[in-house]
Amino acid sequence: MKLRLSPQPYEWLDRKQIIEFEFEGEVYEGFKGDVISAALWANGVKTLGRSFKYHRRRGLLSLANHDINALFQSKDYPNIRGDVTPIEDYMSVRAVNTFGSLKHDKGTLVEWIGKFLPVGFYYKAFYSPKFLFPKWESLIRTMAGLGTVDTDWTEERKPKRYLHCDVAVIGAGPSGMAAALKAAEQGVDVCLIDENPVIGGSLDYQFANEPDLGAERKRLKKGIASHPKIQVISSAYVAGYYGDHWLAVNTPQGLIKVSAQAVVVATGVFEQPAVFRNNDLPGVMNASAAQRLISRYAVKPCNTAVVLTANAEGYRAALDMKKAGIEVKAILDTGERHCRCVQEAEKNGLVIYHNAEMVEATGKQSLQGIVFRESGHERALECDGLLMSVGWAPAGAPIYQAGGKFSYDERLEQLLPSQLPDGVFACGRINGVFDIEHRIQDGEQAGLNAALYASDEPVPDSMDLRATQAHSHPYPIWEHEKGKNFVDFDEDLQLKDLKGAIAQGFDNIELMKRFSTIGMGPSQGKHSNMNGIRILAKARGQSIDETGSTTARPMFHPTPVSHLAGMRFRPERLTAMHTFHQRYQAKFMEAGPWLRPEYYRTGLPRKMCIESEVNSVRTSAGLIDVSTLGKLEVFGKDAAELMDRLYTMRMSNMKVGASRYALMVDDSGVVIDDGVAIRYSEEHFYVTTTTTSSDNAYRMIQKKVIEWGLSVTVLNRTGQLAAMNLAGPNSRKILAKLTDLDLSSEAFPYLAMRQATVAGYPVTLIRVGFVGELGYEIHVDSAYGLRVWEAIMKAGEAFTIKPFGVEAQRLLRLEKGHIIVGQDTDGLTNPYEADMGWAVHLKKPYFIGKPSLAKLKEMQSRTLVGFEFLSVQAEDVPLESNLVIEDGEMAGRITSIGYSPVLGKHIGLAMVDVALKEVGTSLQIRLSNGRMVKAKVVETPFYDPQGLLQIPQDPEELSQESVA
Amino acid sequence: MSLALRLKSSENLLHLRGANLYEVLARFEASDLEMFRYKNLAKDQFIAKLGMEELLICSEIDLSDSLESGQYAFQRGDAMFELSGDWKALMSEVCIYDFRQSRPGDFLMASVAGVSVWMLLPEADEPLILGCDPTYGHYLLSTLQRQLEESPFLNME
Repeated sequence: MKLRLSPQPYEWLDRKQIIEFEFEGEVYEGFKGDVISAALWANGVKTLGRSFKYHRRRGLLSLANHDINALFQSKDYPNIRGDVTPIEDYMSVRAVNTFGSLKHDKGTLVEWIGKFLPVGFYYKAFYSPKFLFPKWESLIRTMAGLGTVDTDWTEERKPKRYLHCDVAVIGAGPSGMAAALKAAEQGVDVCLIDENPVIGGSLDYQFANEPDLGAERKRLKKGIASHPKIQVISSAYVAGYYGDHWLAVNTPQGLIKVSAQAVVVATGVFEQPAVFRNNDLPGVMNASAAQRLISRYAVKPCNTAVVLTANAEGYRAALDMKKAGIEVKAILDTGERHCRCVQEAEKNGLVIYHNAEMVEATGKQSLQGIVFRESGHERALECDGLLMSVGWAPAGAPIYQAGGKFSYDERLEQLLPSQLPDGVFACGRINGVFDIEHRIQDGEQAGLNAALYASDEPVPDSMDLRATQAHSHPYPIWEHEKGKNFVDFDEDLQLKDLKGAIAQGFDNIELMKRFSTIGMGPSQGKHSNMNGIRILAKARGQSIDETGSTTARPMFHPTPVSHLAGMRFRPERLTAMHTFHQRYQAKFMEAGPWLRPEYYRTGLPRKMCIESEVNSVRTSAGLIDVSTLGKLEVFGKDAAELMDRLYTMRMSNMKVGASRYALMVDDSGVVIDDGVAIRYSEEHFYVTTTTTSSDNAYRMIQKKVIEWGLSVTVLNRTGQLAAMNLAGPNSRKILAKLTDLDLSSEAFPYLAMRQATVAGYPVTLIRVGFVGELGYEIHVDSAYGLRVWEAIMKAGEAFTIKPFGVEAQRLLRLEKGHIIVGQDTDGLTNPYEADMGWAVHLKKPYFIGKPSLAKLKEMQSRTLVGFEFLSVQAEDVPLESNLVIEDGEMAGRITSIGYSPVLGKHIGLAMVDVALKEVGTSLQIRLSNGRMVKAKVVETPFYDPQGLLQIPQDPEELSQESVA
Repeated sequence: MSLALRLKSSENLLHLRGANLYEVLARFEASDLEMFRYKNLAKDQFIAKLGMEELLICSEIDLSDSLESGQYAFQRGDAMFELSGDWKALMSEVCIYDFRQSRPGDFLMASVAGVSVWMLLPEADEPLILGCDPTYGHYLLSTLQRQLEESPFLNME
């Protein structure tokens, strides 16, 4: 490890753990705690990647999670950020965006033809000849892009979690740490978020050699570690800031949704590179990157350094380099500075050139020297490291996303927060505070204010601690006639590209961004936007504020889709009889959140299984699980009044112990639900809803109870009760084995309800006939559901009872011409159209939808009819939703269709124009393949039209043949 | 203490609705029970006040004879679970509720992994009791188990 230094006081390394990893096929060593870029640099590897467009060699720039030219590819992941991703044993990575290898990249040919590829060339070229466009497109797609996604990837979902706190502090540098500690001292819960694995921020790399700060560092870090009110989330960044102070915090484990009452933004600043010829050569880097390299990873950024600076921080960096044993050739000051650091630099014998300009880096594969002008003289220096410290841009994404504003401070030459939303506080360098003691003080007052805000206490005005002199160069850009002065390292944009865009009229910040793509690369302009704004402002003769800036939207960093997706919570409901269905080989289907048996597998084809179930119900007995029906208890003084208002039929005159069909429409008269209502007592009803409407119906009814001010309680008991329907000519005999109740037609007539015990368990029995046979709907507490079901199956063995599923039930009810709400009706169907005028009692004083239905009664334009085919081949059977065509126009659609094994033919229901409703009318139905088949309108019900089977005086006297 | 989830029996769970439930409360020596608070009775038994006219009772005492006119009792078969250990850590992955707002003894209704759930907030170091509609029981159990086993957050802590 050629450039590895001796242990540094705040390094992140565990030197006892040596890690071997592979890069571009070669094996390197590093320490645990090293990131990929630092480990490679320590081994003397300075070319870490190739640039996006010209495939130029690139090295370190920021070492702060936006080194976009040091992106790596592993087997599983593309675009691994080398400046923040730790090395691991057996890790094997390659550089992205190379053709061949990193050393020998054929993509460098692009640089040779670069002059023919100016900014935005792809908007103007390739239009003609048209036939060549696909080839150009393919070529551009091949050349563009970074890493490669392995399309054989394994689905990955990371959990999300919620975290609630009073104060969230973003950034654990000196200001952020001080803010967190101060806020916690007020007794509020604090969450401190930092993108690094170790808190401390610039305190540990910019001030690592300041002995005076040792005690303060210790106080802050120890205080945070030991404070029970502070939760630190490290290695995490705030990807987005959303309303009501919700923060999307991305961590390696997944996304944390942090909710805070107040937020302190202590995100600091991004160091901005200078723009000069060959400013992208490996070895040219931000001074803060060099300091991070030394302090965190104990790696020398170079052997011989030159520091280009426009602030005191550059001098401090030069002193840090010297302390690390690096030869500092010179400090190139872009102006003349007078501060303690200058004196210290001079005291340390460092050579300072004032008013330096027109810098140019030289070297082929990496930096070998620099050329610059000073007092009119051109000078050259040999070096392998050029550290840039020319200015800062705020890491302002959280503030922008929270709705805050920034404006340019000409004293500091920096954008500063000018307007902060309620509950948002900024401190530290993002707030223009640069002196380290002031930064800590600024953090403390922000933390205090945030805690007061979170506690609903008045927030005092803060002391202005902002710096009084600039820490940024107003225009750190030196044009060179030979170009290669890069503004955006992501997109390989040079100064000439931006000037070209501006010259072509894209001279608005948003237009310039979109035309040139500045700031649109993976770093999202973190080290290019500020210089872009300065260039545009100068070109247009505007101020920075007049020029404006682009919008900072989430995500702050690229966030994995697996983190955004989170774990999948897809609630699934199982009935009390589910284990039986499983044992009985049910093929399950989804019905809303429920799993229901579609049919039971017997080894025969699906159609035969279903037909067998249908035959069982028609000839003997069948049992279906209808627990998924919504089940509402309605009780109280106004229960009858409520029922009358909710349903189209009169319910208040229903006798205790009776049941009645319950049809519900909305205000416009559209059918929205149906079920069966029963009356337990004068003030107690029980009503079922369709499977998928129970929650909606319950919510709507609750709302109506409140609106109407009725004294009634509605309880949704859907999941608490199991329900089953025992149907078939032998159902009475089977049930008789399990209950003492008199089941005779006199004692328990059709549409009656009885409370009894079945198999020893209390149940409610309702004599209804959805499937058109003698039948009993049995409602029982879910705890007993399975036991009652199994008892019935056992008792029915002598009658070859079979369980039947949803498909058989659909067919059975179709034979009876019974509708399914939502299938035979749509979002516009009223009861008259559904041929259910009999279920509407317009004589009632009021029910929901009555005014509409009173009008609609005479305005019917379509109606539901039954149909069968004149002749149809198996392959020509229409599907539900196939259209009825009349004179070439759409005249209706099929709502239900199926083959009736009892009737031996296909039958169906269709919603058609009223002109086609007469029995015997011919219908033309268009199949999905466009062919037409003929059908005719017939009477419904198709089966047992007189309903004799549902109300047999003596069921044994009736046979299938007599009713079919 | 590591997180552990186990099913509990919900036998004897009763939902009472109606006016004048004071006598029922008095019978359980819970006359002073506040709204959305619960009181532990014997082991695995409790009474919770969900409203002026609504109680949830898990008790072996038979109340069927003591109900007055206008009072309705419905048996509940809720799926019930006991979550011991740092239950808030698991809850933070499946429930948006800020548990800092509540205190031991609270009866809380919230959405957990997309399902409506009630919870009996325990004293420190005691397990959390939660219950839901029985038809969601299987889903909730498997979801919480999966989270316990797979969540890198939980396995990190």
